[in-house]
Amino acid sequence: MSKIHNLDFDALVREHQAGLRAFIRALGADEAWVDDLAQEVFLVAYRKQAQFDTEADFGKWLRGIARRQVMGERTKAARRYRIMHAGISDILLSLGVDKHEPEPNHDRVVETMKGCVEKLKQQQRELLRSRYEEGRRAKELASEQASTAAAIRKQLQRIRMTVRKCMETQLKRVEI
Amino acid sequence: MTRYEELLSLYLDGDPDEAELNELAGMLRDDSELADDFRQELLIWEAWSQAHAPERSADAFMAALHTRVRAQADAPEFELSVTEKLKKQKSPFLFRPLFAIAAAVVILLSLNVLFNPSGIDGGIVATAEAGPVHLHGECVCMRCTLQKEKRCGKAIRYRNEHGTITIIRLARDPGLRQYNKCFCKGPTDVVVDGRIVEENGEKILQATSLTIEE
Repeated sequence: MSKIHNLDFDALVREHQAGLRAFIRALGADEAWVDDLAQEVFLVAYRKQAQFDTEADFGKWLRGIARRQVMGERTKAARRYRIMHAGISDILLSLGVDKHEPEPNHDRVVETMKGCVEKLKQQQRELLRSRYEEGRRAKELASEQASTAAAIRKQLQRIRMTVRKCMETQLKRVEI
Repeated sequence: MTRYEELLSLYLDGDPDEAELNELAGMLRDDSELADDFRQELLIWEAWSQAHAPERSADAFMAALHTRVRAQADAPEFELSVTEKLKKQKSPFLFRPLFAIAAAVVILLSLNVLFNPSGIDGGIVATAEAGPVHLHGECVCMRCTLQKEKRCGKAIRYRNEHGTITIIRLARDPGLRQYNKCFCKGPTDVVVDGRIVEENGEKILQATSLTIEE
């Protein structure tokens, strides 16, 4: 890819892609379409690179494009499937730009999560792995495990609560 | 579980219906702390997904973006050349519909070439005989490499005995997880032994051995 005012676009994408994808998901995009939407944001940025003020924050500029992109999804009837629910996206959009700044310590969050997931039981870790590494939904997992989708969701929700609680303790400990 | 947690789990892992999504939206609208908690859940588990799903790695994302940038850059040139070719053809009025159909076929075929520069016919195998096979081909992902499906799926692209490039899906096998990168960041040359079996009316390959060729 070419350069933005002597900035390496590839390097910018690499630096901002994780935060941008998280940002888009946190605006209510369907998990299966987050990367697709993020790529479109970068394509818009690539096309409009001449408009970018090099003194400005590139991440913020991208997030502005992403917000408009998600808002646009609500009005395109044919593509509305890329967001989960227009009402939920409205609320997430209304939380304000500041609240949608990506986590400043994205890597630390993932590292802390890893530590917390390690503490889970083997069967719980396996369930998380099936869900996130293989991208399988509760219904699919239920049919394999001769269980119900509701039971699988319940297990995943308990795991999430445990991990979240552990993360809060760990992150507080680091802050102290 | 509270009702919010139930709805959250449906949103994250299930298929909530419109009424459930409306109910969740109502809860979030009425309680800003809940809305903030909801946003945190989305952020945290999105980060986890990116860190663990091979098809969502930074490299896979970059590769897919490059493909789209290239496709966009080539598109206007391609459109112009097809238009020019069509203009040059002085077609009698009666044959115009035929030319239009032919042009559409050319465009569709060319688009296939554009998105599949190796000139490969991306058709999924349908005629392969059931039984043992030994294939030299490439590991490909139905989503990341071929962009044919919404979700990742392992497949082998190979040239059959008639010289036609063919794609056959691999049966799900936990033992193949170690090769995730070869599929999602592929194509990667591979030698596969296995059996062609039928699953839900589709012929798929149940691999018994898979050797990545360096």
